[in-house]
Amino acid sequence: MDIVRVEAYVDGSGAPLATITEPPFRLRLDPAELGEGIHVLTVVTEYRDGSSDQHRYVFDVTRKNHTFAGHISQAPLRAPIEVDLVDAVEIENPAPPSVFLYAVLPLILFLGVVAVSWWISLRAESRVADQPTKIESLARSVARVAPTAGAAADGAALYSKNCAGCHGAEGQGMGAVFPALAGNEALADAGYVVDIILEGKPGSSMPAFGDRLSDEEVAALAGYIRNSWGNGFGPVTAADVAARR
Amino acid sequence: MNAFALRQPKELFESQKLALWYFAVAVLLFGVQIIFGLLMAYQYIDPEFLYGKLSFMTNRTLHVNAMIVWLLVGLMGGVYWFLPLETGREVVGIKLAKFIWWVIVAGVGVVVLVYAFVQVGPGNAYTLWFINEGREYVEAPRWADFAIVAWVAIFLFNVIATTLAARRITGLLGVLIFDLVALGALYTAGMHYTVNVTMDQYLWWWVVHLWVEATWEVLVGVVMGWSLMYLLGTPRKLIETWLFLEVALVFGTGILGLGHHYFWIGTPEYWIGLGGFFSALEPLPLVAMVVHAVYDSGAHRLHTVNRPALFWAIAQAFGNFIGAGVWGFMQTLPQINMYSHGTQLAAAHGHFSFFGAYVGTVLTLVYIAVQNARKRVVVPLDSRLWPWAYGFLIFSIIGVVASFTISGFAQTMIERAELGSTWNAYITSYTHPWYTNTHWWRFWMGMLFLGAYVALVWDLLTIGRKPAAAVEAAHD
Ligand code: HEC
Ligand code: HEM
Ligand code: HEM
Ligand SMILES: [Fe+2]
Repeated sequence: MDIVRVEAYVDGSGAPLATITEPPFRLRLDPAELGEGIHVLTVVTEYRDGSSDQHRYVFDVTRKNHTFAGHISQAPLRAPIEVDLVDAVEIENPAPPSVFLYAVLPLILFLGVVAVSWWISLRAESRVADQPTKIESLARSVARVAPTAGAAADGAALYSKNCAGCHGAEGQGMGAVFPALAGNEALADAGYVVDIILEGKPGSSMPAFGDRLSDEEVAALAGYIRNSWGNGFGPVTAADVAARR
Repeated sequence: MNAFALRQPKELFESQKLALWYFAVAVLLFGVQIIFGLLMAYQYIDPEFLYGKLSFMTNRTLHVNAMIVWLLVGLMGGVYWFLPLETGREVVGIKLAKFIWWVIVAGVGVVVLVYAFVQVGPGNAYTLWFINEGREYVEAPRWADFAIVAWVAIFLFNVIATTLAARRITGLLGVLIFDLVALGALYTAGMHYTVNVTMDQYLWWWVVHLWVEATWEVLVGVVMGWSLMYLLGTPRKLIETWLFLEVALVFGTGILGLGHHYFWIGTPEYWIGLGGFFSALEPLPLVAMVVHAVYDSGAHRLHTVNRPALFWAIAQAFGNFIGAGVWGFMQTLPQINMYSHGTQLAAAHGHFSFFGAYVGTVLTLVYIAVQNARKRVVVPLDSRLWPWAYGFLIFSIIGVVASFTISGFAQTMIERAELGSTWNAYITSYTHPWYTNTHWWRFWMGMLFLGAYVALVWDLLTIGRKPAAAVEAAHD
């Protein structure tokens, strides 16, 4: 860059502190000539093509020629400096700590927290039921199981709601974990199917539906799985279910 | 860079010698934690591995509890290290402190043996008192709970009595005292047993959440404050100003942030709003801590008396913010948590946050102690090995976290959002390649972590050990 001239001004002064035309463009700034506090150094650079720009820098002058040891790492040392070996706040001699504030109050707080948790825990003993969080408004597809007594039981709908998650929408099952119902010979025995639906299969993840579904619904379900996806084992009636409850 | 081997001006304080035991046990248990993590990581790949001999859940319990114990021991060690320096005197009640320490070490041994060999009982009062209370993260029988409360009480007595005897209170000490009170009292909240599981969890989260997201975080603020004063010479005024800001923000957001664990455990619904709002603000103090550490290190142009300690302190600031703040924020809004709850995203965040916030802190403290434990103190402390241990520990934990994040994402997306939480959905997500492939990744990153741990231990044993003459010769 073709710099022809650099002028340096300090603070509001109209006359430059220095005008330099040759590199290195260096100025000796003596804080002794400036007042304590904030100052502005303005550097105006002029280029050969006649253009120019200026930069402003803010700096601080302090008459302090000493610093805390913890600060000497902040800049390389260039001139003799006095070092405060102890941080000023460490020398202050405040009142000794109050026994009430730092020993009694902590003990009270400790016992307070312990007491509150005890109280909650004692109260909890009398609360046997949980309060379920209603998340339907947030939920997208959580199947909810509730008895729908009275309504005509629809086997297909009941199946997709209660069973398809494990046994598959087409009764195809899932690997070695959930048996396929399609083409499953065990379904030929109507009593077995009804028992399984009512009682589940303890020790496996097959749940019991006896408490949640009515006789009509169980019958509709049993009939549905026994006669879908190529199965043809015949219908099941509500009376058959009632007999096995 | 020049290095100087300086003569130790005088003996360590008794409590600093005790702190060295704390640190030794902490680093040892860190190794134990890693071994059990690796066993589990391998069992994810081959579920038959050690099946019936050392089950996944046993390994998981030992992995997680070893972690809690060593991190807590490390943080307490840091207090025993700095307390005499802060008060200018030996710790009051040091004999009692030594006594309870060895009781605790023996007690932890007994708890682990009982856990490994007996583990389950008839589920009555006897089981609760002598085998296990079955509380994740703080798994101990009730007799051990009482020993732990006694331990914290003696620790608290040490701090308060030393402060009073020194007739000098500082901001750091004041915060420490009240924080330890909360820390100890909250532990007792995890000792109740109620039939109603909602109420049981309600209190248990006081320990788990209010420990790591409130009281431990503040304890870290205190020991990191002392560490920065030691490492950089940061003046007390600056440290304490930041500390007060951080404490106000941590407690202001963290206490009600507790609600983010109450979303789906059966508490009243107002917790959804409370937990969502306050926990979303929890990253704020963590940002403040990053700014603080970076500002201090920058202002001092990284001129420090102990390079590995300073680098761990910086890693801690970022790790705390990213691991706890960002990975926590990611799943803390109820609208998101409804899909992500209980997936491996939680494990991703658990690894990142515990490593970032607490492993970083304890290793800072350990390096500071190691520097001063020798006859000749090398300043600035440096070695060729530590950057490798540092770099690979950080790199491989990020690898472990990334694998949990991806598998957790697959679960959240496939099992929850797309297929609606059915069994079918569960199996589809558990057999999806994004889930299964990460198991290998996790295992090899864990092996790398183990290697880096060995390097860390080796470095701790050797750093600053060079013959003094050689070190001094280096300076001219
Ligand atoms: C949570 C998953 C799950 C759900 C939901 C479920 N099942 Fe099952 N079901 C199973 C499992 C697992 C088995 C195999 C149990 C075993 O033999 O160990 C099974 C077995 C069966 C069997 C016996 C099959 C055989 O070969 O012996 C029938 C019938 C059956 N289920 C019907 C149903 C019906 C009808 C529904 C809906 C009302 C249903 N299941 C819902 C998991 C489930
Ligand atoms: C150092 C601080 C932290 C640590 C050590 C930590 C650790 C953990 C751990 C281990 C869990 C799993 C708990 C379980 O077993 O279910 C967890 C869960 C959680 N954390 Fe943190 N955490 C920290 C900070 C945060 C912050 C700041 C936030 C929020 C901004 C957050 C948000 C969450 C959420 C939402 C969960 C629940 C995930 C789920 O749905 O299961 N955490 N945390
Ligand atoms: C060698 C490296 C490690 C490996 C391979 C590893 C592996 C594992 C595995 C497989 C789990 C069980 C997850 C599940 O339940 O599905 C786990 C849990 C956990 N690990 Fe690690 N781990 C390692 C290191 C660490 C470290 C260094 C920390 C923290 C300092 C840590 C903290 C945790 C926590 C908090 C949990 C419980 C998470 C939760 O349930 O939310 N682990 N780890
Ligand atoms: Fe939390």
